[in-house]
Amino acid sequence: MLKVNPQEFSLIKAYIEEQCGIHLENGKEYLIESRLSNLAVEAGCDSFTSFHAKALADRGGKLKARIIDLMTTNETLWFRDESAWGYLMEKAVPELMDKAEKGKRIRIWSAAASTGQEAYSLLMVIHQEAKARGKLYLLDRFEIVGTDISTSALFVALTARYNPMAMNRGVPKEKQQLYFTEEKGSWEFDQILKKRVSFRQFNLQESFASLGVFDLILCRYVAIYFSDSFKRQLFSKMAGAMKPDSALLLGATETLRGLSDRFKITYYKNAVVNFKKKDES
Amino acid sequence: MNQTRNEIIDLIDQRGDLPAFPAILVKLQRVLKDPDSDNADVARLIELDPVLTLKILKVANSPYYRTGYLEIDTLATAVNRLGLDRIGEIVLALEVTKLFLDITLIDPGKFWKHGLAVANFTMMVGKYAGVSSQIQAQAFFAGLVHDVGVMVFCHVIPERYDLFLSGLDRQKASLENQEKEAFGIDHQEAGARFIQKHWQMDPEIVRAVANHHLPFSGTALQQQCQQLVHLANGVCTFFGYSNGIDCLSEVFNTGAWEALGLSLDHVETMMIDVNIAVGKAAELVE
Repeated sequence: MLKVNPQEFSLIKAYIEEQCGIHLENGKEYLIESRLSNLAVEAGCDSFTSFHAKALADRGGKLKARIIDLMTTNETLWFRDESAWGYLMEKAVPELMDKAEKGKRIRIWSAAASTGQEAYSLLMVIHQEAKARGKLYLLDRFEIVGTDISTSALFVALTARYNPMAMNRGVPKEKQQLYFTEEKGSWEFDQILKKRVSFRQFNLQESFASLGVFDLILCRYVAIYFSDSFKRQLFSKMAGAMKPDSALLLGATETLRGLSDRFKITYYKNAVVNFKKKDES
Repeated sequence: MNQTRNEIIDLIDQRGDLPAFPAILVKLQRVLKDPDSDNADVARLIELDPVLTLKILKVANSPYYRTGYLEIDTLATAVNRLGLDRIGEIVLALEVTKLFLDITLIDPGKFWKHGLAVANFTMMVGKYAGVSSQIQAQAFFAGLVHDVGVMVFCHVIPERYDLFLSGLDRQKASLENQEKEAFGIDHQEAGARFIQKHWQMDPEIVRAVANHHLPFSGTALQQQCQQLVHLANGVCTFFGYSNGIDCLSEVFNTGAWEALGLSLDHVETMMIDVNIAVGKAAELVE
């Protein structure tokens, strides 16, 4: 494994922050070493200095794509955080379903969707709510959009195929029975139902103009990797992509305090729910 | 570690009982490269081996390969109907998958079916990516033998590799990383060395075998073949068509996907094509 010296760490850290917004604190040198060493060697570099130079000279963007992929790979869980999913199942989705019954189209964004577990978890909740009302046709009024910077993660999301280890990360048994079939040692989510989620590649540093506006945004456990200045920009852009009085959910350990005044922070049981202020345009 | 690595390299280089490149393939390549030869010459060459001839006819009449309604009952018809490229691939696949069948540490049938699925799938991905037919042909071969280093280890260090496989942590790290840790050399390097030394394979094929988990080694043109093999291997394994060892691995790296100019719109088609690639492989592996 290649070692990174302090000067190299500064260079690589700045490069990563510029390319994908991820902010690395001092003390995270091991992340660079463990995640990028093999790639550096593969690229023919014997040091992180030469690797940095190679990344800067990379006109085609392939090396950059690989670096981003390696630095942004995270574990993804189904129904992560009971409190958030309690809010979604008991309040958010039923209220959105009420709007759908009145003819409204509902748009939901799973930002940093990774391999799709969050988006499909949401789909299961929405499907069950529609089914409970005896109105499965209401699913047609929901649009779930999952985005991520990594094509390889989105590939998995699009195939909706998960190995047993991924399935053990939060899928309740009854949902596994209802929505998944076993196929050659892995589990496939309902291949017809999955088409109700659309996935696309998207970098959160880009403009959100092409995404439209949403009734609900889930942006969970991704902003923790960003600098405060990027977080402020991110949440400002998110507010701009939300209908008034719509909700933004972050991870249980994340907060908008000190980062945005465009949201009203409320609580549903143990869940923190950030509503875009009504007087926002 | 260096001693083990050097010892294994010496074994690969010097063992006289590693499988030779099938003689018929050498002759076939010569005939295919000869501008004065034609389909009849190819058919005549293959007909010298009646067992191979029967196998080709069986494959040519199988659902995945068959063209037209009429049964193909002669080799000449098979060559004319399928074309030289397809016949070359079929003969290559039938002959290579007869090798290393005495290995017992892993299932050779499953191993070669994986290799063939990867080989078939490289052709499909190569078409989406608009890669040249020459690179597609190289990728087919490299895809077929990309994991041959595993068979080489089973052959030259059977007891040690058996112990290694029984202690493998399938969730912790990739096969190649654990091989490097244990032996100082992984199946990529072992396989590349074998086909270079014993089969005198083209450098592009050797490189693709050496780097199928490292698709960005080398120049941009060299990378295309290895990226095809890398992607095809990752996708086939992801869909459950592995080489039988089933170790932790990334599906593929995003850079390789983007470097080949692929789009997420290809994913649904790929899901169908993987099954076709595997179906074709099943026709060829006994």
